[in-house]
Amino acid sequence: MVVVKVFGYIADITGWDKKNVELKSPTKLLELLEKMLEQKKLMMITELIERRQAKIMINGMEASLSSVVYQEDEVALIPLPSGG
Amino acid sequence: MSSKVCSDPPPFLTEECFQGKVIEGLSYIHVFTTLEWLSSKTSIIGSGGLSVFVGFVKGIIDNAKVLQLKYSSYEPYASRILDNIAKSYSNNPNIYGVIILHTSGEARPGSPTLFVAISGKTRKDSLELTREVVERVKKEPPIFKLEVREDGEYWILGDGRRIKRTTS
Repeated sequence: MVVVKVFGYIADITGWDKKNVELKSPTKLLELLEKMLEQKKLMMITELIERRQAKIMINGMEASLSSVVYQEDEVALIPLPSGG
Repeated sequence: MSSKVCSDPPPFLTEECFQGKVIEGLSYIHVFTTLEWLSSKTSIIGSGGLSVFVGFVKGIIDNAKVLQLKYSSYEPYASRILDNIAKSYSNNPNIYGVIILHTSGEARPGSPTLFVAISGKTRKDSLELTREVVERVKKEPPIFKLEVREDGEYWILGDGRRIKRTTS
């Protein structure tokens, strides 16, 4: 089971903040997101990532859309932090 | 500095002079308790002063009344990064303690959201480092905030821009 978490305004784009996904085999993150999101929402998120307005973490480490996701991984899509 | 142990901490902290974490519903009780403890424990190892930054919720933005901020964080990474920021100064011989506490959950105007306390050998050491630590805390840990105002809800981005929320 892969856990996908989304934060901040990205959760408003997806319409959910956490989903569990069964993976049959290791999969590139972009392919996983294509299965989880409508095309328009996926484009909005990938654009944010390309413009460095959002980033991806896999198991707490910075990753990219071409990173490979394995069973039991935790993926997070996070906007730029706004602490303080 | 001869010791990085600050004994007898308040219940929400550990026995470390350099630490940071996210606390659900950060309050002024956390702030004042930490100040008293850190000044007491670092004075006996040579500190002569603390510099403090307390961020709190603004009550008005762009002429609109702010009702509350809603903070969310990606744990355990947000707390881990705050802790790493604090510990990154532990080898500085002129700094005796760095405590960083950040709120999560809902906070109303005037409520503390970020508390940074730096105990230093001199005021120059602690004052200069306070600004640096606050700037890092605003950019590094995965913490996010939603501003709830009388004219709608706004996501506050890392660069200070606001995006009006279209869903609720």
